[in-house]
Amino acid sequence: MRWSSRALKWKVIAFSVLSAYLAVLPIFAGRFQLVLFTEILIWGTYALSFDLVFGYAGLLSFGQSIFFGIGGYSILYGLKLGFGPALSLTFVFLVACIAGLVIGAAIVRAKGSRFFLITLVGSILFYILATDNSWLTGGTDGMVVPGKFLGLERYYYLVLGITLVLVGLVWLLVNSPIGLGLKLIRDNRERARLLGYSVKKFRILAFSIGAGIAGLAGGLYGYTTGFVSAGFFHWTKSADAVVWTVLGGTGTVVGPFLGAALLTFVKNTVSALTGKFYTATIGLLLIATITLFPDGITGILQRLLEKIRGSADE
Amino acid sequence: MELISQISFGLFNGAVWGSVLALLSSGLNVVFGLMGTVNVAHGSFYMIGAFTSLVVFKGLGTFWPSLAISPLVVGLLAVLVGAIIRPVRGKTLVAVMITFGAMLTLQGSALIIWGSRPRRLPLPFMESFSVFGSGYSYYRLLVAAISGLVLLSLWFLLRRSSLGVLLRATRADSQLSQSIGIPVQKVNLIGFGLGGSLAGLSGSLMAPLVSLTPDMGLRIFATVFLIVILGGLGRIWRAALVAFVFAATRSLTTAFLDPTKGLILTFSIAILAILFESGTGE
Repeated sequence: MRWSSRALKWKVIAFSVLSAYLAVLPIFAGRFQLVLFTEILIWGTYALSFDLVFGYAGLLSFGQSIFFGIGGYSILYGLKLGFGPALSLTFVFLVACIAGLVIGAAIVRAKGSRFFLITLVGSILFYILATDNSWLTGGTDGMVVPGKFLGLERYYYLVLGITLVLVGLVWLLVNSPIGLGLKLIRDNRERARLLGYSVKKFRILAFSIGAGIAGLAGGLYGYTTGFVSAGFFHWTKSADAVVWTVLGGTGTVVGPFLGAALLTFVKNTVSALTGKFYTATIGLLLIATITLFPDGITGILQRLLEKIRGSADE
Repeated sequence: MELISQISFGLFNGAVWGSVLALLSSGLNVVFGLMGTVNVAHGSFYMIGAFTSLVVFKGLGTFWPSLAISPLVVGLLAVLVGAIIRPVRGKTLVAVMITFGAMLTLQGSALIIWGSRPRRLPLPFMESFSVFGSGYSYYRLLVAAISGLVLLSLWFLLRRSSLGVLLRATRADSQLSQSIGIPVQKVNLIGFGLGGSLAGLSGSLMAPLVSLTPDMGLRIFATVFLIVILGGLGRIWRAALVAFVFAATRSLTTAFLDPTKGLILTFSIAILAILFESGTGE
């Protein structure tokens, strides 16, 4: 118990230092870095939604791009209808949550790889639907989000604020009795059921909250870039969430952000990776991480920390 | 007369397309039966098979050798993927993610090598015959014949050969098989290779009939998966039957349905089918 409270203390310190750093970043960062960090925060939030659904609830969802897309179009239509940004973002979260609730209620009965396949086929289906109904979505050419440009710093702080709040809420959720129930269901469904947990309700809840977070990420992306297209629904977006989370560390709150940060940074600096080499690279990276470092970056960091701590104790 | 021509054309197309789908779904089923894992990269194996035909055609000036080369190349690729999965056997989700990684890698590699522009191969021979007034190429008939032959050989391999006994024993109970001295690991790899080469052959056969793009495998994967689910996961022959019925229905309705709407319908049915089937295995 002493160890875990000490670990918690370190986590809180690290989190505060990082938040403080991110809060003062715009003072010395250039335009490029500001855009990059805004993007990283959005992608990290998006990956976090997958991690909540897979890492904590054990549902291998390939459908996060569905909610990312729904979020993107919700902000577009929210603003078009004349709601302000704040109200529109709330609207985005609610719409995505409800979509997640409906879809989740229909599909959580599918187990294991079947769940993955439904969400895989579903994400391709949504992409085809979005490109096919361009009167609603603007197709792959997309649509411009109404409202004037408010400055990079404002967008950055908006995204940072929402991200920090979401991270805090997810952290509270996964460490609450609900989170423990989710982890129990993930690790041993039969035992959870015998103990009286409603597997279905817990999973629908996690899926719906995950959908809301993915939707919010899509809404923020559409709002800050001023542009939404059918590409928001593209299945490679779902693949990104999987790869970022696995790379960063599944079942941890910070992992998705580390994975998203690393890959977004590399993608933006190594120009070879933005083009045609990207898909093959993340594929190989996914295989390599799963087989060689199943705990991802956070797992490696944790082992390093333990080693340092072990040698300090001696 | 117009209608009869259209219907007979549709049935012919259905038989040809159905035989290829049957070949593809049997490959998916062999792997599923052995590993208990849906191989998400199966569609990419099909795609690589098709592009191998393109390479062979460009290099040798003739299409025919690729019918042997594609299954070999893709079979070896599949063995490689099977070897990567081996250590995580039993952890279904992890295995699925690895095959998904393989899918991304193969599709991404195809994008690097061949680009996203659709490629076409000429028909190996142009001769055609007339079916109620509409021309029908002999090559399509050949595709159906080869697929049928390979399916029959697969049946003999699984039912009548000693390798088939090993494959079926491993599939029924891998622990028991191991304990009586069957080299389960090797048998699994052979099964994975077999499934892959069936996909490679399908891709190669279809290469002159479709346009080749790196994402051609992903689209067909949804269809094949739908067929496998409707036939019952792991049940090779029922899936083959479903493939024919599916293809016949599909090609009869394409005349009345635009392709995108047809695709949307297929995908929606696939989702419902997966949701409501309660077959065996994970």
